[in-house]
Amino acid sequence: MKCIYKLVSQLLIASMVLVPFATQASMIGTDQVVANAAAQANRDKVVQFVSRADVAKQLEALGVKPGDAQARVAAMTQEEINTVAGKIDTLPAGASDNAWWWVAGVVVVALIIWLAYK
Amino acid sequence: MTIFTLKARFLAGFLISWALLSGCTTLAPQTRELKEQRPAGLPTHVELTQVPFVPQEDNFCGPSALAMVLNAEGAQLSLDTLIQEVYLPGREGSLQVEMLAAVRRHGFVAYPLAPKFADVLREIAAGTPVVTLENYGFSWYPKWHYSVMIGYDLDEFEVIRRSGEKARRVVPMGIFEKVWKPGGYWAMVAMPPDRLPVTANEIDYATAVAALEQAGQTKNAAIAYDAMLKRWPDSLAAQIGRGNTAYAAHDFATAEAAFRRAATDHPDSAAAFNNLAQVLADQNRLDDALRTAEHAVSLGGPLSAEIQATLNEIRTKMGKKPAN
Repeated sequence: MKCIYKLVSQLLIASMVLVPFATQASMIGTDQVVANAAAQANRDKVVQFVSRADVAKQLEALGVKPGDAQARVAAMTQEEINTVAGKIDTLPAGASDNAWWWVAGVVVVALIIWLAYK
Repeated sequence: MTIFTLKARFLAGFLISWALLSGCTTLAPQTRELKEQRPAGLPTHVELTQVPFVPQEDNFCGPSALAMVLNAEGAQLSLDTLIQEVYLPGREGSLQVEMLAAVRRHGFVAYPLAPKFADVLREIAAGTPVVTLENYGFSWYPKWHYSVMIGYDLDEFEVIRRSGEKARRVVPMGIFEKVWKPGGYWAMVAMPPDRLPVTANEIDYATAVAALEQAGQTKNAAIAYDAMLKRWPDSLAAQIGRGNTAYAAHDFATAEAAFRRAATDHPDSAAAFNNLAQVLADQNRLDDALRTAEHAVSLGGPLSAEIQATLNEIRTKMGKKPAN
């Protein structure tokens, strides 16, 4: 039974990842019309695919479950994929507005300055 | 030493260290501009009290900000679902790109606003809460945080936010601008597909809707293209998008009408003629398809390879049918 679940989930992952690329052979996509047409025309589909899978792998390396990672990259645009690829470690990651460390830092520096002038 | 000099010294030390730590970048140019000239047509005081508050746990400000703006529009998402979609354990936070992507997964259009304070206020005045990214650290030691702006007061020059564990946090605009500026004044809205942000521009919004379409939300993207066509009736991107979403749903009649409209309004658009040719071919109207594809090829442009492929396909199809 477990085996079937695994197979089904893998098929689902594959379908989610592949769907955005399985455009009709002769239809020109809306994104191609919207974006800079010249740049879009030079896109290499194979490179795109690798890059998307790369970003999924980078997400996995940072603790995201494989299935979740695939679904997460599937909702990104190619431009967004390009933005994050290789930069996941440095891009802003919103977390907390906890500012105790800030106040603590100010107090420590103020104390040092005060002691120095005493 | 009197108690007075002690206090003065402490105050001086505090101020100097504060200035040093904050890198002296206390300027808030946009707030100053707002104070000098109040943007026209904005109500003085707005507060979107209907936006639910989802308190932040741990470092989940991204998921909780999304839960607030999406649930305000009728989605019923749990914090856990959104954590699974945007939280990055290795970074103990959420990336902007993933915030946008998660919005799309729930059928909403994720639209990053222009980096303007006035635009954020305009969206709030129109009833849309805005997610912003702030830095509570320094450029060399950032502490990023998302919050939801739900209101403002132009008499007091304050903004009202749902942030972290606080359901209602009132902050002077200048101070907010100081923490908002380091992230490039990043702000986003999550729009239900039938509504447009009041500050949206055609190209950027078309990009946002095309992203929704590409994420597999064809039905919602179609609704969003229709909404775009109400504001920008001759938008090429929206016309093509409307056609492509109909085509994906095998609604050839709607697709054909949309591509015809695009081809009429934009006679230079090879994409419009190409897609029209394709949908005609799919309906087996091959003579019409051939003429249209030949015209598309004659227009040239950067998509020539795709268009030539369409023409070849139609020719092959015709060759197989000697009756034609």
